Amino acid sequence: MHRRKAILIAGTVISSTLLGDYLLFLSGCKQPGKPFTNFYSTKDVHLFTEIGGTIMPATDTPGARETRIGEFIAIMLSDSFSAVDRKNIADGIANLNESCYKSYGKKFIDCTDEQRYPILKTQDAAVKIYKQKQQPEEPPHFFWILKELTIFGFFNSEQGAKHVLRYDPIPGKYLGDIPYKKGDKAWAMY
Amino acid sequence: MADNHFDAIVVGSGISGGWAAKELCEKGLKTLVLERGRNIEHIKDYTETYKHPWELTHRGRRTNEDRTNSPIQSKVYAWTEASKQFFVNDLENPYEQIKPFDWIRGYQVGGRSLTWGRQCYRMSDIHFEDNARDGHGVDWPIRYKDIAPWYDYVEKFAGISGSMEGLPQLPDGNFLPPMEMNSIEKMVSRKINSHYTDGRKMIIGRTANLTRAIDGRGPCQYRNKCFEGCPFGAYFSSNSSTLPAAAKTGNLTIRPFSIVAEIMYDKESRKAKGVRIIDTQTLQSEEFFAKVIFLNAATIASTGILLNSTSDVFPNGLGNSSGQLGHNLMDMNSAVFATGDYDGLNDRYVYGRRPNGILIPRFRNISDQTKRKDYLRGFVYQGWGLRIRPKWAEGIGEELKEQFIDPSNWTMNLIGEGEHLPYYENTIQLSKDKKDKFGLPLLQLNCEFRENEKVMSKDMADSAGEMLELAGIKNIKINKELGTPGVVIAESGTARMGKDPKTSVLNKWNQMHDVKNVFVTDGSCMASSVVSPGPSITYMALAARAVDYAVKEMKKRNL
Repeated sequence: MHRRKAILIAGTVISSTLLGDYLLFLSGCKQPGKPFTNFYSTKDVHLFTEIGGTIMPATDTPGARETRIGEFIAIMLSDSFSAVDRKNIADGIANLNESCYKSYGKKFIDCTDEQRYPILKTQDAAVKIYKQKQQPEEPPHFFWILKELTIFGFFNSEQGAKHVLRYDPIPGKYLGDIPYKKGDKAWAMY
Repeated sequence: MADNHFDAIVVGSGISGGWAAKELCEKGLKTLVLERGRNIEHIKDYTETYKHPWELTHRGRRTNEDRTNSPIQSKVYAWTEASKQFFVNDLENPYEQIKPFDWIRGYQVGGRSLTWGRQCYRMSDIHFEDNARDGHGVDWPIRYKDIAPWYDYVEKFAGISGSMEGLPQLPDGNFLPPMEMNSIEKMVSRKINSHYTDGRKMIIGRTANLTRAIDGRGPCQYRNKCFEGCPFGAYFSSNSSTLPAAAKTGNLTIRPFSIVAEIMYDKESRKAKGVRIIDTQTLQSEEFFAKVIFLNAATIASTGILLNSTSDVFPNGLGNSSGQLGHNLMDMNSAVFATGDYDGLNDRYVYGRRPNGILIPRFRNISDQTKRKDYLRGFVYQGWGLRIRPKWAEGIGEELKEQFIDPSNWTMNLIGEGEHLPYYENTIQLSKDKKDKFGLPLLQLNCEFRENEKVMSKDMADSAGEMLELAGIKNIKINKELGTPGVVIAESGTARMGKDPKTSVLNKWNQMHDVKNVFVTDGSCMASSVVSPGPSITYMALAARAVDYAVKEMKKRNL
């Protein structure tokens, strides 16, 4: 119980009170890392990369880890999202850490991909339920934000656009009605 | 010639100003173009357009800073991280909204011609006769035959791609080869075209993108990055097209950073003698003089300049003896949106990103058969079929990733764009007490949609749903809300043309009834509203036509 409480303090209480300052405790580390944006440290970036990498893993093609997705997530959260969204992200991550402690006795960042997968899968299911009840004025679910930024950032990254999808910056012509067979990759940049 | 004396002054360098400048210069007039914003050099200043998405910090998306600094501009579909440099900062360029009106602006050489939607649709006699038929506004002083040769003329130079359709409500033009519809658009158009007998047809959009090279410009490379400026010069803008043609004559002088504060009137000659500008860098006033003045600052700004040009003779604004100046502000009602997906054609796909969509031209109130009892005028739909990568999928990990490899199902989308009646009470006025940083009165916009637009909106939504259903589209979602004026960038009508000087500001040559050497050839001249999302071709044609008339009058010494 003590340990759980300590994590809650580290994850939720402190990060909430530090809103507007660096949320250097997102990853639960004692050494917070260097500031990366006004709100997030390099350690936070690392955590976002690990979350993004679990959402969109490398297979026979590159995954989100290879695209420095954590930097993109940190920049977007800092520049395009509200303080409320950032607080929800902090609370949500504290929650992730709590789940990881319960299941594995360690923080999310210290878990293996196999251990992280069911934790994030649970959040993904929670997003689905949340979205069904979500009112227009309600903020998005924290995991929806992280997953959406991972998808958007990844497919608009060089690796994602070129190696997972097909990317042609200068098509040169337009053909509106050509054959498609299952397995042909989707075009990037739409 | 002293360095502040010219044959002609053109106020504004956007679509209509660029045309006025080209025509004046080519007819041998030493012409000064005044532009309030910075210079934009074709190609060189399109600084973002070659960037890959991953080279943009936010990969194209809006930031909190964008929403704070440009809450109005950043609403526009054309606004991205790569195009925002061509839209104004709203905080630095305030105006007053008596009722909500999104005033979209681009203060730079080329104006909004850099970021326009490029759709180009001729007006027909059905439109030119609407006012006379239903009694709203004043009768247009021109008919299709007056403007048709000028449509031909400007289309040939600008380069408009489109298909010949033979529709009475949408005259064909001088077109480059049309772009191709995609698979779902072909399917939907076949269903619509064969089902309806009311003149309804779905056609490929007519757009100022070059499907063949013209004069060293283009052809289109199908990147769909037009709003960032085209390094191939493959769409019409002042920067790519008219201003270079004007410069080639040796008669053009462009002066950026020059806000026109007023047109100066000479009581003796009963003509305008020139303009007073404020240099936005030095904040000094300067005067420039010319024999003829073309006002092309776009509807709202042009009207503001005229309202601010007061004298003993015209205490309520230059050329405003009719009292109509600043009244009858119109836009288009464009909020109805219908979308749905299609379970089929999964073996068809596209290559390239087409910067164009489809159009369903007006099919209401175009004949006895199509007359509506519940509202006047009509609307069009723009639309597009899409097959893109999925935006979202359930799950995480490998199962998520593999759902993004295949493109999603086809979707079909329609946006309704409805005409707006001219209401005297919809106005542009000058604030009596609030001024901008240059000491010029703030503009107040007071414009709304009314019952006719509301009732039409309902039909727009219902008809869109009906057509999508007919085509077999599933999961149809329709937004039926009435929009806010302004954001579709079709503002018009506040210095209208007309036959009678008592009820209109301009005559049939876009010439002020009261001040013969001032011509206004932007959207403010419109006697009825923009009728489709592509009014600019009409302003181009009217500008070229007005210059032709003005120069002939000058030669006859009537000006």
